[in-house]
Amino acid sequence: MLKIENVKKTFGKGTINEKTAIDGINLHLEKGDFVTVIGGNGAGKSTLFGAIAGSFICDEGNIILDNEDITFQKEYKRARYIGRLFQDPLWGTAPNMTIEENLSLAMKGGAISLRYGIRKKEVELFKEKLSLLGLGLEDRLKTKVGLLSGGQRQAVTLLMSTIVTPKLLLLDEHTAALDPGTADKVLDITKKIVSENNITTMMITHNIDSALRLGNRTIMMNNGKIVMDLKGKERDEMTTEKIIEMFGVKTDRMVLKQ
Amino acid sequence: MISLVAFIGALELGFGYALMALGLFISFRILDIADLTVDSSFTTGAAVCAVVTVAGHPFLALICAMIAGVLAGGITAFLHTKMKIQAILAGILSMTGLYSINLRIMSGKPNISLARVDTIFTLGDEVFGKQYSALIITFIIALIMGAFIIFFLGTRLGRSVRATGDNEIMVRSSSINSNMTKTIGICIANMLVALSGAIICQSQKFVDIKMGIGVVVIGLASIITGEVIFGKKSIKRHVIAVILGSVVYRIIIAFVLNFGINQSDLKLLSAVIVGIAISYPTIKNSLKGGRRRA
Ligand SMILES: Nc1ncnc2c1ncn2[C@@H]1O[C@H](COP(=O)(O)OP(=O)(O)O)[C@@H](O)[C@H]1O
Ligand SMILES: [Mg+2]
Repeated sequence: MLKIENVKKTFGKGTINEKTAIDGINLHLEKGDFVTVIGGNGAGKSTLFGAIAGSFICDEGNIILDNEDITFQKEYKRARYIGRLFQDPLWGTAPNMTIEENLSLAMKGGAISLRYGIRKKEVELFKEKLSLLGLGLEDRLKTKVGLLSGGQRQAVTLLMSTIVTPKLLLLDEHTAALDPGTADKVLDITKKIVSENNITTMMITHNIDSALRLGNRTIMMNNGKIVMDLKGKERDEMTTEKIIEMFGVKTDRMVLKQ
Repeated sequence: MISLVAFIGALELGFGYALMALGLFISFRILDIADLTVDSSFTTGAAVCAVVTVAGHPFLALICAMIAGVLAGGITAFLHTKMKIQAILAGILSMTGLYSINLRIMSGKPNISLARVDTIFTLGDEVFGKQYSALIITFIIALIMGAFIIFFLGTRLGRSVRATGDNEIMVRSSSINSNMTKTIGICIANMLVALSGAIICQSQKFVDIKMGIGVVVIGLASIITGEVIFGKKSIKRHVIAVILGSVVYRIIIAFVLNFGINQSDLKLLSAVIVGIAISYPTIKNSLKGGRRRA
């Protein structure tokens, strides 16, 4: 499904700020995998997502998604089948546009269409999907997104990323900026959408507990490398305490269990 | 008070320049890009229009002006999106280069008179009568272009253009090709600006190489005036506000001129108004802060 082969990226090459953010990553994902990604600040987790999503072209290596080599494909083209959420709820939606206008941007096809307004069929679909969020947004299609709370905005972003089922969903600490209650709610919605549509997903989290609880595989990154890759029985037997012990994570916010 | 003739004249100018304000609305408000191409593309539209009108094609002249505007915007957009030059600098480069091109279009002459040729306005006089024809024509064109903008911004493509200006970060990681949406926006903006130049050229029967200087400020003044008076709740409302803002701005100018202010001081006045209007929130805040400190 997703094959990342020996991918490297160095920022600021040749300057004093030179930093190899990801350093020869190899990773193969099967269809339907839900991989949680942990690792300290600056470990290269977000950079790995950037490489997959095409925020930059990698210095070395190849990225193959669904048998297609996307190593050099432009970011906006990859975005047609790779959904991505960031930590900041303000990043994923256009605040001065309404909920339905935002959602309409996520629909497939017709990016250069000169058809006025939004189709009735699409509006129905938006209502149906919004009602599944359980946030009452289905009655507020004409509300500007800027008026919503962070959690609501993140839920709308999640919907935008999945309303056309993506081949791959990248979640970069997408609940970290929300208050604990809201974060749980958004995480629940995430789990529901991902499992119902069997979306191959990677999720960065700094909560080791939930990293081990969610999904079917956990990788840990450090210094641009994957230093641990847990699946199956090995993963079932792993505990937060053991990880902290093994990797001597001390002051890092990773130990926060929330 | 001002005379009826002066008032009607102000309305005509208001609707004529409203197209330019609509162009700026697209770049400054929708795309959130400070596009300074406008000072020259306005003249480009007027110059192209003058040449084609003199050749005997007053309607074709407007179409040609619009095409010229699209090309002018296209250059700026190319410099900005493909060559990665800051929008403001890209606009300045186009503006500077276009000055020479405008002179070439006008065969090296600093001005061209349309005194003895047919324009859409002289033709309109026969249909609508002399007194109101210019007002009716400029009003109709402003109406058509306003409707066009409202329509466009409501299409899927238009929504993508709006999103590009509304949340750059979102668009960067979305399937919207922001280079394309920016290019389309800047081209449409300058198309409107050039059409505005063409209309003003035909109504004044004159084009001057310097006629575009300061239109950016006039456009911004119109936009802000419209927003303050008529609001900007929805796209429809905002577009109408920009058009009416341009008209109100011209009426204000007509009054000011009536008070005996020198025509040549108008640009300073416009700049001061825009400066104050834009910095109003900052001034208000610092006044509040000052009071608290005191
Ligand atoms: N655009 C960039 N320019 C320069 N350095 C960067 C850039 N992005 C990330 N880095 C650096 O690369 C390293 C990895 O960053 P990142 O992938 O964001 O880590 P994580 O998400 O695991 O916290 C950090 O040292 C960071 O400072
Ligand atoms: Mg990160």
